[in-house]
Amino acid sequence: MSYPFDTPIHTNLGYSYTFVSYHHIKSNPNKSLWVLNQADELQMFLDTIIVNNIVFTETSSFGFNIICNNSQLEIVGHTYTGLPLFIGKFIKKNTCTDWHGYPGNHVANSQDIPPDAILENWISQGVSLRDIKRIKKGKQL
Amino acid sequence: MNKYCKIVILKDDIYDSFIYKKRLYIVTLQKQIIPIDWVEFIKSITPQRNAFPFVVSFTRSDVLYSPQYKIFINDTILRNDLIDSFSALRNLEFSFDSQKLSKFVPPENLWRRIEELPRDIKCAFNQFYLINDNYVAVSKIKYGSTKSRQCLLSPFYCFAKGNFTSMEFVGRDIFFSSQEKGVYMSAYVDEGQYSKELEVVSNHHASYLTNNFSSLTIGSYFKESHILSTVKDAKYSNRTFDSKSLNELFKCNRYDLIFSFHDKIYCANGNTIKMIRYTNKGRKFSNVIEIPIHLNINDKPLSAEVAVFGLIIEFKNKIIVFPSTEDETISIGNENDSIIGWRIFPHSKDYKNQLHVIFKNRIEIWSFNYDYFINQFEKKIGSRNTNYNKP
Repeated sequence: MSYPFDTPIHTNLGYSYTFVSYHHIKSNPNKSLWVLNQADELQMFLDTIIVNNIVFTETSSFGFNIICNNSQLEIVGHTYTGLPLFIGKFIKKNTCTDWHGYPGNHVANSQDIPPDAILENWISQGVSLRDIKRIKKGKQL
Repeated sequence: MNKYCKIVILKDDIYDSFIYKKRLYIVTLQKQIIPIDWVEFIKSITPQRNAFPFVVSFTRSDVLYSPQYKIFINDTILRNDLIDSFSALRNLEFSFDSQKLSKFVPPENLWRRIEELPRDIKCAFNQFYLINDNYVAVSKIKYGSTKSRQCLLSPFYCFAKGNFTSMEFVGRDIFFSSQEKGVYMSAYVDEGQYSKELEVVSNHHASYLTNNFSSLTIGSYFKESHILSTVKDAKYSNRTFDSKSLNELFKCNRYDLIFSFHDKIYCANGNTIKMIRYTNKGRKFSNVIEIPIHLNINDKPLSAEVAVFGLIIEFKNKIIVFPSTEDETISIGNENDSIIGWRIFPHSKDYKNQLHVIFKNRIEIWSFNYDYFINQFEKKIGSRNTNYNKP
């Protein structure tokens, strides 16, 4: 099933979510690209909501998620130049109700490094301590 | 022939470790810092035969460069005896569990508790520096000291001890800087007190920092790496820097890994390692020298450091030590026994020859002891030991 780009859809958890075109179609050198298909991206977002890996700030809410199999992180996206990315980041501005997401680049952008509480949840989900340490330090995986 | 030995401490949940002024500090996942009286511990396990090289290996790395011991390096017969006794320690492995160590650990109420698992740790100027998510915590190093103060309220990636009395930080102000730009900051210690002023000396993105004497190498793993050469360093607070792209000097791809310490700067990719010698005085760079090593790993180097005993390069599931003697490499870790973290102590006086490698159930403390016997000014692999004088 494919969803329209840049138009909010309503999810079965009651949240609205927008698939942003420039995170799927290579067009903007400053934007990362999903390798996940739309269904997997949506599932990753819903899982973020379910496990409550969300941070609230004065202006926005941020969610972070990863896909971990046997302690190995799976690639969820890549940069415009092709560097692999492992963290899904989801954002909602407090002034609106729509969420959207993109593959976070923890190496280039420190705001894509999840806070400690979320990283500790990931340790209990089986993410290796090595990867957690490298994410915290902004180092490539 | 490589000469190394190691001590293994069996313990679960080790997050990080540090060795400083006769104590080994183990940071646990339970947010505790456990001090171990390292010198007493080493004394208790020192073998009767080859006691001197054993003590040098684990507690006095630079003692052979001191005036009273230099004869061991300069006199041919003594030197050969010493090489033999280091060789006798080769591949020795000592293994201990926490119980055996308990004699050297103070009671639990003297362990330090920390608020969060730090991004990075350094010990310098008799203080602990912990980089947390949004601030740097500084506290005195002594048993039972629990108070720490928050300073430098800003998110930092990493830091390095500066050449004299400074600590240098790489950070980014996530709320004010633009998406792509990093901010490099330098802070100064003035008679043990932090200057509250942070001087922004470069706005290149960086998540790696090391120093080349009073100059600095900053690397990004993402953008270009730079050397910030000191133009004027009479006083730290008046330093001015000349920034040069290391990727341009090496003529390399921006995704190649650049790392350095003191007199040498290296560039590695999956196949080759190149080196440039750097002289701080006059800000001189040598030509690019190709190191005669073929990695043939078909894997991307993820991070690396320069020690006196060689280069340490981390790949996905292992780290490889390239000895300064250009002998066979040493591979540590594998897919089934993966490494959580590792550390070297290039600024240290007594532990320069050590590599600490943390695994899920243990910490391995490796000691490399071949570097004393090679000319420090001619070696291509590893930084020059600054205590070494020309023969």
